[in-house]
Amino acid sequence: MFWSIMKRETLDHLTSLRLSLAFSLTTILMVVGALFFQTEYQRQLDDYSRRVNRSLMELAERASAPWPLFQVFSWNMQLIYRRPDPLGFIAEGHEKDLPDAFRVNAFRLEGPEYTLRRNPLLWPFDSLDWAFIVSLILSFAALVLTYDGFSGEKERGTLRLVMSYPVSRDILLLTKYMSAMIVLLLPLIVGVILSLLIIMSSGMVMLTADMWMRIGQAFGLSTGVISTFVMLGLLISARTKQPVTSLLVSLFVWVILVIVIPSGSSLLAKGLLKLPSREQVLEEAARAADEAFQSYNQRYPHPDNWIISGHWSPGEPLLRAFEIDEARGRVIEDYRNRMLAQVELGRTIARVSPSVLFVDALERIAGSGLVHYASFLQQARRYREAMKIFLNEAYPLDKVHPLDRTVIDPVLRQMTIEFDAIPKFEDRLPWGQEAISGIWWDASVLILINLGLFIIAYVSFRRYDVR
Amino acid sequence: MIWTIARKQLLINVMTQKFVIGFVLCQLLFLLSAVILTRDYEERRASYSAAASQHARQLRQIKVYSQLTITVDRPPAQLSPLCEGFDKRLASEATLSYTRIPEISMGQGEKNPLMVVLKSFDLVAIVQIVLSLLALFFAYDVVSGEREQGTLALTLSHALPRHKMLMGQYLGGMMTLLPMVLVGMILALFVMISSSSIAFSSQDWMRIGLIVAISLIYLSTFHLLAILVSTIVKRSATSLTVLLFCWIVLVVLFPHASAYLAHHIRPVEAKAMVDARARNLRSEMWQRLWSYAKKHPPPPHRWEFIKGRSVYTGDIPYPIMIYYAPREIMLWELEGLKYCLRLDMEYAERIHDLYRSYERTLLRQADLAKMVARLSPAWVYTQAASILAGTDADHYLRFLERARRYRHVVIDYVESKDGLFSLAYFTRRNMNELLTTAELEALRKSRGRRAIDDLIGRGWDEVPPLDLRDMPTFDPVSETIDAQIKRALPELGILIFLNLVLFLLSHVAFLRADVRAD
Repeated sequence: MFWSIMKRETLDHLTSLRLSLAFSLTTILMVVGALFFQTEYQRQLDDYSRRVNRSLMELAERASAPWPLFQVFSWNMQLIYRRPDPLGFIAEGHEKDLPDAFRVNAFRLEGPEYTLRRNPLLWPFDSLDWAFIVSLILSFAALVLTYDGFSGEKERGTLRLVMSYPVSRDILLLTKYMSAMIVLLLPLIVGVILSLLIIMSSGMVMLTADMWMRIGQAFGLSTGVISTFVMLGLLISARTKQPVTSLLVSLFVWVILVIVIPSGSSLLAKGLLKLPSREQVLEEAARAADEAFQSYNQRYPHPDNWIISGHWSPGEPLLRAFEIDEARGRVIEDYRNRMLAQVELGRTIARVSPSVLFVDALERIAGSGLVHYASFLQQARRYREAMKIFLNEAYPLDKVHPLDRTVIDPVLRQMTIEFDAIPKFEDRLPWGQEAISGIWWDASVLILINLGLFIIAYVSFRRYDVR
Repeated sequence: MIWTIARKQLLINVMTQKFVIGFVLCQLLFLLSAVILTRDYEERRASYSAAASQHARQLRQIKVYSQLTITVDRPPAQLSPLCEGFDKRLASEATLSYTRIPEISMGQGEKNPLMVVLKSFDLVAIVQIVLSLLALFFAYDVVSGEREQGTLALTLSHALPRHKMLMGQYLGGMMTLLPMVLVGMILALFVMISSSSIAFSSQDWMRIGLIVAISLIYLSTFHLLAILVSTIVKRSATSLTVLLFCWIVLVVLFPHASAYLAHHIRPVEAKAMVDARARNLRSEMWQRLWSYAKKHPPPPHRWEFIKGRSVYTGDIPYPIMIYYAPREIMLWELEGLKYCLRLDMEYAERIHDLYRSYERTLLRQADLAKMVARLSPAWVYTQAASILAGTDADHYLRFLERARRYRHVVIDYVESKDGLFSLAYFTRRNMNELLTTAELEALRKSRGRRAIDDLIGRGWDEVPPLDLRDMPTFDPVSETIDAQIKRALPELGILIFLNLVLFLLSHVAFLRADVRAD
C-alpha cells in the first residue's frame, strides 16, 4: 500500500506543470550561474595575482632602498588582498560588495578597502549561486508543490477515498513527504551535476577531496532546507480546509521567511547595536595615542621626547611608536569588531528563518561572505603583529630613548634586510575545523526544525477532518 | 452593469479569508517598516546636519584662499523611507577644491560597510512583493473559477457584453486592493509625519500621491496578468501555478538576474586600477614640479625672517600659507605658485578625465542592467518610485554634477577677488609692506630683534578669517516634481502600456473563450 500511494504521488508530481516549471527554472539558473562563475572566477584570480605581485614588488623595492626598516615597516603601507573563493558557486556571500583589502605596516592596519570590480550605480543583487537558487526558487517550489497535499485532496474528495483503505495517516503523510522530496531533489541533482560539470570542464577549479566533501555538505543542507519547506507546506495543508487558503498562508510564510526576515534584521541590528561615527572613532583614537605618548614620556623622560612624526621616523624610540600605535589601534580594532558584531547580530536575528540559516551555513561551507571577511581581518591583524615582531628583532639600536641622527644615520641608512626574511601575507580561506563545527550545528537545527514540523504536521493530520 | 459585477467581485473578495489575512499582514508590515525606516532616516538626518554645520564652521575659519576646500552635503531624501533606492548607498557629500574634482563614491550613509550582506526593505518593497502576490490571488480564478463553478455561463446568458464583464471583474479586484494600499500608506505616512525631522512640502505630498498612483498601476499590471492567465487557462489550479512562477521570475528573480547579467556581460574595471593610474599622473606632476624647483632655487634666506610657512615640501615654491617672509622670498613663492597651481589644476582635469571615462563604463553597465530589468514590471515600478522619491542613482549623479559646476563657480569667485594666482592665495600681506632680507637685517642691527618681531607679528592666530559671506553658496535644491515626472515617464509609460496590452489580450482571450463548464 505504501508503495502504491508513493508511486501515485510521485507520478502525480512528475506530470504536474509546477514541477516542470520548477525543474526548468532551477536547471537554467544553475547552468547560467556556473557559466558566469567560471569567467568571473578567472577574472578575480587574474586581478588577485596581479595585485599581489605588484604589492610584493613594491615591498621588494622598499626593502632594497636606503632606510629599508622605515621604508618597509613605517613610511609605506603594504596592500594585502582577500583571495577569491573557488567555491563561490555554492555561496558567493556578497563577496563582490564586501571590502577585500587592508593597508598594513608594523604599526597600523588601515581600511577595509575595496579594490574589486564593482559598480556603485548598480543596485545590490545576489549571485545565481546554489544558496540563492535553493533558498529562493526550490523553497518556493517546495511550497507550491505541497500546499494542496491534504486540502486539495480533501476538496477533490480523493482524501476520503484513500482513507477508506487500510492505510494509516502517518504512512500517508510520509508518502506525501517522500514523494515531494524525491521530485524536488530531481532538479537539485540535475542542476548540481550540470553546474559541477561546467566548472570542472573549465579547469578553473581543481576539486580536491576536501572540496568534494564540502559540496556533499552543501547538498545535504540543501536537502534539509527543501525538506523544511516541504514539511511546512504539508503542515499548512493539514491545518487548512481549502487549498486556496493553504496556498495563501504558505506564500505569506514564504515571503516572511525568505524576504521580510532577512531584510528586517538589518534594521533591527542597527537599532540594537549602535555604531559611533567614523569621526568620533578617529577622535577617540587620536586621544588614546596622545595619552600613550604622554604616559611613555613620563616613564622614560628624555630632553628630546617632544619629537614625534605621524609615523615612526629615524630617531624616534621604537618602543614608544609601538605603544602609541597600539593605543590608537585598540580603538580602531574595537570599532572594526563592533561593525562585524553588528552585522553578525543582524544575521543571528535573521537565522530564525531556515532560509537564512541555510544560506549562512552554505557561506561557511564555501568559506565566503562574512566568515571570509572575519577571517581575512583576523589574518591581517596577525600579519601586522608578525611585522612588528620582525621589526623589533631587526632593529639594532636603542629602542627606548630618542636617538641622535649621528648615531642613526650610519647604521640605518645603508642597512640591508633580506626580502625573503620579511613576513609575507597570504590570505588562507576559512576552511578550518571551527567553521565545520558550526555547520554541524546548523544541520542539527535544520533537522530539529524538520522533526518539529513533522510532529506538528502529524498531529494536525491526525485531527484533520478528511470529509 | 459594470458596477454590479465590480461590486459582486469586491464582496466576494472581501468576504474571503485571504482578504482578511492579506489585509492584516500588509498593514502590520507597513506599520512596522515605517517605524523602523523613519528612525533610520532620523539618524541619517541628524548626521547630515552635524556634518553640514561642521563643514560650514570649517569654511568660516579660512584665512587664505588656498584653504578653500569645500565639502558640500547631500541631505537624505525625505521620502527615502518610502523607497530607499540608492540614497544610503552613494556618498552623502562631495569635496571640491581648485585641484580636486569630486568623483563618484560610495556612501557613508551606511556607517557599516559590512551591512551589504543584509538586505534592505522599504514601503515600496511591500507593494512590490507582498501586494503583487495578493493581486494575483484576487484574480487567478476570476474567469477559470467561475467557469468551473458554472456561474460564468449563467452570467453571460444575460444581456451582458463580455468586455463589460471583464471590466467589472477588473474593477472589483482593484477596489479590493485599493484599501490595502491606501490604509497601509496612510498608516506609514502618519508614522513618518509624527517624526520631528520630517516635514513634507506640498510638492512632497504630490510625489507621495504619484507613488501611490504608480503602486496601483503596478498592482493593476499583476491583476490583469492574473485575469489574462485565468482566461486562457481552463483550470484555476493551473492558472495559479503559472501565475506563481511568473511572479517569482518577474518580482524575485529578475531584479537580481538583470544586474547579475550586466555585471558579467559588461564587466567594469576595478576602481583601484583607475586610482593607480591617477596616482601615476600625480607622481608625474610632482616630477615636473621638482624639475621646475631645480631650475628655480629659492633666493638666499634666513629662517628667522620667515614665519607661519606651510608648504607641501620646503624645496618646491608651491606655498599653502605664509604668514610673513621677506619680499624676494614672497616673489619667488608667487612666481612658483603661478606655475605649480596651474599645473596642479591641469592635472586635476586630466585625472578627472580618467574618472570620467571610468564613470562612463559604470553608466554603460548600469544602463544594460536597466534595459534588461525593464522586462520586469517590479523593477520598473521600484525605479519609477525611486525617481519620484529622489533616491535613484541619477539623482546622486545630478548632485555630483552640480558639485562639479559649483567648483567652477568657486574658482570664478576667488578669481574675481584676485585670490587665485596672487599673494592672496597664500598670505594676507601686500607686497608693499614686505621688507627684503637685507632691509630686515639692517633693521635688526639698528633696532634689535624686538623690532623685527613687532614688524612680523605674532602669527596666524591673530589673523581674522576671510570674509566669504558674498561667496555663492551651494544649492542642494532637489529636483522639481515636473523634472522627476519627466524622468519617470519611460517607466510610467511601460507600466501603462503593459496594462493596456494585458487588458486587450485578456479581452481578446475572453472573447474567444469557451465559457461552458467542463
